[in-house]
Amino acid sequence: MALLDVKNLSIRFAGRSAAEDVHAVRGLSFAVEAGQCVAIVGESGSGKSATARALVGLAGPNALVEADHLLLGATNLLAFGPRDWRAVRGRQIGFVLQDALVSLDPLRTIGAEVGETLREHRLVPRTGIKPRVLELLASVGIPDPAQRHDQYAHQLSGGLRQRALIASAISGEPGIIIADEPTTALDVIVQAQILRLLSELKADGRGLILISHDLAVVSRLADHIIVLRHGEVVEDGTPEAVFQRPQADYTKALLAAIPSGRTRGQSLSGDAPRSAAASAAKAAQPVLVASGLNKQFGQRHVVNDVSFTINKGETVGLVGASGSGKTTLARIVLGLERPQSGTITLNGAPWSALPEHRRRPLRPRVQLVAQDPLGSFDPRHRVIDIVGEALEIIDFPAAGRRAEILRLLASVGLDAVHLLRRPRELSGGQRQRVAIARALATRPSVLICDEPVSALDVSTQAQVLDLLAGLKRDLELTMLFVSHDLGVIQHVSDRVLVMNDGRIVEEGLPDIVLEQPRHPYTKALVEALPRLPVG
Amino acid sequence: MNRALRLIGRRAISSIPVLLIVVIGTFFLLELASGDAVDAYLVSIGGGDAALIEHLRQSYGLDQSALTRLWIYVSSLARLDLGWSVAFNRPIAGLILERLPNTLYLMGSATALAFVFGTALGILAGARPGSLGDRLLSIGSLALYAVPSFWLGLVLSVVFAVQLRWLPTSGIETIASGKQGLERALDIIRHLVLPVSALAMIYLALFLRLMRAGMAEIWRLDFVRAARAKGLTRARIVLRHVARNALLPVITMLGLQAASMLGGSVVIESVFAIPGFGRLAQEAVSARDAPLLMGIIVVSAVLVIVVNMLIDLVYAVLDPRVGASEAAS
Repeated sequence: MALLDVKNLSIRFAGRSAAEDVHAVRGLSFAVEAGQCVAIVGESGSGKSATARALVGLAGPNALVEADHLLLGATNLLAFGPRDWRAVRGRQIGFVLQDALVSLDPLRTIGAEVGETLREHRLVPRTGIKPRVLELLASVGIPDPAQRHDQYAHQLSGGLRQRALIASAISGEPGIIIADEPTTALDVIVQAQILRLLSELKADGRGLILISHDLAVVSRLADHIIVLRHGEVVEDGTPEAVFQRPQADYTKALLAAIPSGRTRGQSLSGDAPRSAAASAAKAAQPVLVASGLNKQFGQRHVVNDVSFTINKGETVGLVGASGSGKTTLARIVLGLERPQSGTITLNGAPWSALPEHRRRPLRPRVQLVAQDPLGSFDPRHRVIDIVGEALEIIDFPAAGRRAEILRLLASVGLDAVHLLRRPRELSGGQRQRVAIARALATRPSVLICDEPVSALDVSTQAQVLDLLAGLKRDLELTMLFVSHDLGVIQHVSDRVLVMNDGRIVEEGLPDIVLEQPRHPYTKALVEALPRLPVG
Repeated sequence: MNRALRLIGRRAISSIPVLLIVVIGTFFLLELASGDAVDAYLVSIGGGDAALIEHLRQSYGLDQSALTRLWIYVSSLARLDLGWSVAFNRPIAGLILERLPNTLYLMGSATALAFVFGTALGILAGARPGSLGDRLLSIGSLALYAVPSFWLGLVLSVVFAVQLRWLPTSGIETIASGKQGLERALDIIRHLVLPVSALAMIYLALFLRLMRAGMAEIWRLDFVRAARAKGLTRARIVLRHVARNALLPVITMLGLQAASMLGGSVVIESVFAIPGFGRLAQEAVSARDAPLLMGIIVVSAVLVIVVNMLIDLVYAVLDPRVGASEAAS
């Protein structure tokens, strides 16, 4: 018998009238067996998280959960009241949340958080809780459990916090574990470790439900993959079937949208087929030259003797795990941080060494596209103000400003309709397009893209990457592209810098660096990268 | 605990320049105001000749330049000497020590009551945001918050003291009653019930609303969802996770509130004729007694600094993240 059997599940959020109801999920069926993993994959708004929550009775007070049947073993979950649910949660179904710094109570120790299920359900005697928690922490691979037991969430790294969340979910020995985006906030190496831990739980005979937006992440673990879109199942099958012979156009598009070395020079979103790579090596004309950069925060050498050059029309990819120093390096290049030693020149003239009052007039030449466009826009500004402000800075004549704004918006695929919208009224992809338009408004010599697509869905990411590629070709853009995603880096870059512990450990053409890595860190990075089993 | 002590040490040192700024700032502000204690005295005795004025000014040191007087004031302050009150003709320190306890009783108990009942009701409202109980409490607290404290004080006084005659209308204790010890304490408490209630009820609304808003915010966070997924009961989620996290901003507010309570007590002290700190300030102003006013302001500043230091200490105990960045480096 299956551990969990879901037949024709539908989740509806009641609106003011029947017409305003939101159907989060419709007609979803699957079964989880012991030692098996079902992966539910979809982009934001696909209903995957609503499904995960409904399975533990946490879909919310406005949610109407219906199904032909929803069986936990032989128990009918549809007939459950609050008290029944409390008995199931933690003991029969464990829930692993995405680590977003607030998944653990900031005021309580890790030990208290992990031991909470044990205490609540009185699973072990009071005195037995601490030893059991230490055991659990050790079992999920947390080093020094005794020390970590008394620490708080903010004292742990993202990887350790995610492990603690898993320890908490398995503490009541549940047969089923639901993991909602368990690796999304982590970098590749830690992600690989967490996936290994989850596969061990599966090997232990637990049933695993893995929720993710990333097909590559689930490919190693899943025995069964369900692709959701707008609450409907579009693809349902074994990994082999889904990856090798996808039936739905959406799945095909999703697979094609994943950037990698193979997709370089090609369109990801499929709406503008382009000819082969336009960025052949030209006569090198250095735009930005960094030499011997150093930056220390206290004892930590965050940027350690870093030198590199970016030539005109070139995209240099900067890749590294979180904490590798790539964000600080980007801030130094932007002139927001002063290096302790070393210099950066821009178009042959000093840049990093300038005092602020002399650098300020030159700032329009180095522009930024940040990861979170919602956070980098004034929420009360409209698109016309956001882009207009950039034009104001370069003293663009007021008379022609509106036309110029429209031209810039057109170049990023937006039009006059969007002029009066505020950031909240735009989609994630549209916001990133506005961010690019704003950055291009000052006609910069160098564009710094700091994780510009990390917060976007795969298909939106594909559109933004295609847009950047098109702009690069048309405007001969020079870019420093910072990302933790090797696939993205390999797709966009002409040259790659690999950064670890503040140093550039490897540099070269993307195919060579990322296909035949020489440095041990690059090797570890490449090995950890989840790959699609596509031919 | 070490972390908390370090925090206190640092705050104590940084409070010295704060005090200096307060002293110098108020000194020059008072300097700008027209008229001094001698003028006020002359008005009260019906005027005097030039020689007398000259003599009075000399004896109080008012004939010297502002900078000299500031220097004298600051240096005597450093010896904990607050100076001599012209209006009361006695040392300022003794005067303040006599009046301060009354205000501290009033303020302390009002703040404590407002905080305890405010947060408790806030937890009740925030346990189920949007429920009927939450709405009633929110509307009630808003109505209470909109009422001016002197009006509430007068209404309470009319109902409970004048008509029902349950409680005394004014003063801090029964004059010349000869009561001692416990009896006297009970007498003071009876006198304080009305003014404390009037002050507390209004600030209670503030704590309630802040606690409720904080809890509504915390409910949305992931660790609350995690707690529910562990199978915890609602009551335990509310108390152990939601209320505890929502309490932090309320604690900060408590520190800020202590300062404005000093101001609020002036009004209530006048309504209930309590010889407190606020009334003293009022008397100092009308008598143009600059040294007394200075003394009151300096003591208030010290009080506010001490209260906020205590709040910081409590905060450091409650929130493990405070001071963590400094401890790491």
